[in-house]
Amino acid sequence: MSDRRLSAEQIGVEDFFEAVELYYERGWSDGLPVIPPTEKRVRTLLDTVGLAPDHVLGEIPERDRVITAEHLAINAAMAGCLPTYMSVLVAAVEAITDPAYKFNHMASLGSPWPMFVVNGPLSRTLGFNSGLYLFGPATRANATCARAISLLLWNCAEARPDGIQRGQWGNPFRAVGFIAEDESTAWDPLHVVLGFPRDTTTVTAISLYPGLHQLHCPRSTPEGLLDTVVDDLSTSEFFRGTYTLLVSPQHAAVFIEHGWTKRHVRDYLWVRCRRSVADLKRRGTWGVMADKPDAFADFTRDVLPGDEQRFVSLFEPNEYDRFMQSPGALERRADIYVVVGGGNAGIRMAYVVPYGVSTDPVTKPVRTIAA
Amino acid sequence: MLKVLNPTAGSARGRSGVAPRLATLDDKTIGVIWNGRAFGDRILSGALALLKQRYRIREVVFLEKPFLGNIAPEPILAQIAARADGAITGVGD
Repeated sequence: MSDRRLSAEQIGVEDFFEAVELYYERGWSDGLPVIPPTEKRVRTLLDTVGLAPDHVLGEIPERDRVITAEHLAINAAMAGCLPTYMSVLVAAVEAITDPAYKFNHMASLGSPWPMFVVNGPLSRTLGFNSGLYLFGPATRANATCARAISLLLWNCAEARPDGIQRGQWGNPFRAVGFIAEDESTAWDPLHVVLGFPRDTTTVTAISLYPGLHQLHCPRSTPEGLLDTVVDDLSTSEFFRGTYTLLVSPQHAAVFIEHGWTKRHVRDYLWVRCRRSVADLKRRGTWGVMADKPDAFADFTRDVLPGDEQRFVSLFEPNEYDRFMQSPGALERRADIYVVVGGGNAGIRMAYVVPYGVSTDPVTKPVRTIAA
Repeated sequence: MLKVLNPTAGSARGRSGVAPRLATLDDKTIGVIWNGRAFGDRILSGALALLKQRYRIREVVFLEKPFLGNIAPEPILAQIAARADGAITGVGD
């Protein structure tokens, strides 16, 4: 137990309800009431991970700030987190403060926000939901951890509409984007695919545009299931990045039965997600990322002979990248993460669209095991 | 009586901030960082033209950062700091 003093200002209030109102008045709430954080509660959260209050979890140079364990513990207490969730939250903060995550993209008009995927043994021990109603509301672990990160960045990194955020629509993942993978299938879970030992708990942060794309997939072959995904992905934002495909255990069983691994699924989508130049022109997205005058020089939205036969790949680098992908996106990683989850009955697959322009997913291991 | 904690990280550490406002733009060098967004150069050029109608601007240092989503690289910031009295950066979309 650390005996170092907390650095946060202590404020006296009459009772619980006055405290709740105080957090509204000061602009420290996301709109819902918060649990007023006391020193005793915050110390309990810190002690669970054995971190001193001033332990630096990460820096946000764009905001000229550091995030300490105390900042996280206070906001986690406000969100209603159990102390045992702290180890997972620490890894989540380490992920989004990693330079590869490039924090400043979160100010974008596109309203990006990280979805966190928890893998490994602690995801089950701590009760993270990987099943029915995956995006909630469902369980305390998912809901309060999502809110803890939201409040932390709200209060410590100005990630709020009157601060740095200029998102057009906002992002529901801010409230529900903390999920676990169902690791009960024969498939390797995400963290193993990414090279971590199976018995390690990890948190993967993936920056997403708002919205879950749910697809009705009533077929029973791998190709049949994925052709629906190919069709939809090929007509979505069409920006390169690391997409996440969410597969129910029921559908995972179909793939596994046919000998398909996650890699097979990824590769199938990788080569097939494409769209004709004519389609892109009709949609009005042809050349949307042609930033420079030299790219505009041979740019027209008129459908020309041959455009129906010219195809642009979503994932594979191609000759049309200068029209369709921002310069930043071309420096980012393109991939397809396959994550098993959701209810076991139902014939819908889902995917989420990455904010791939200026950020990459980051995975961090949970180093401090909760007591 | 209950004591509760302030959840904020406080103000920025003071490693960066806004420079003092210039009293006038007359006889000043103005730095501009275009973020590369399509047509942003035209918007910024238009803004500069308006400023030139109002002030006797000595010189304009117009630079483009490589990618809008990332912070301007140090050499660009250093050039602006060394040559300009004030700087404009903005998004054109």
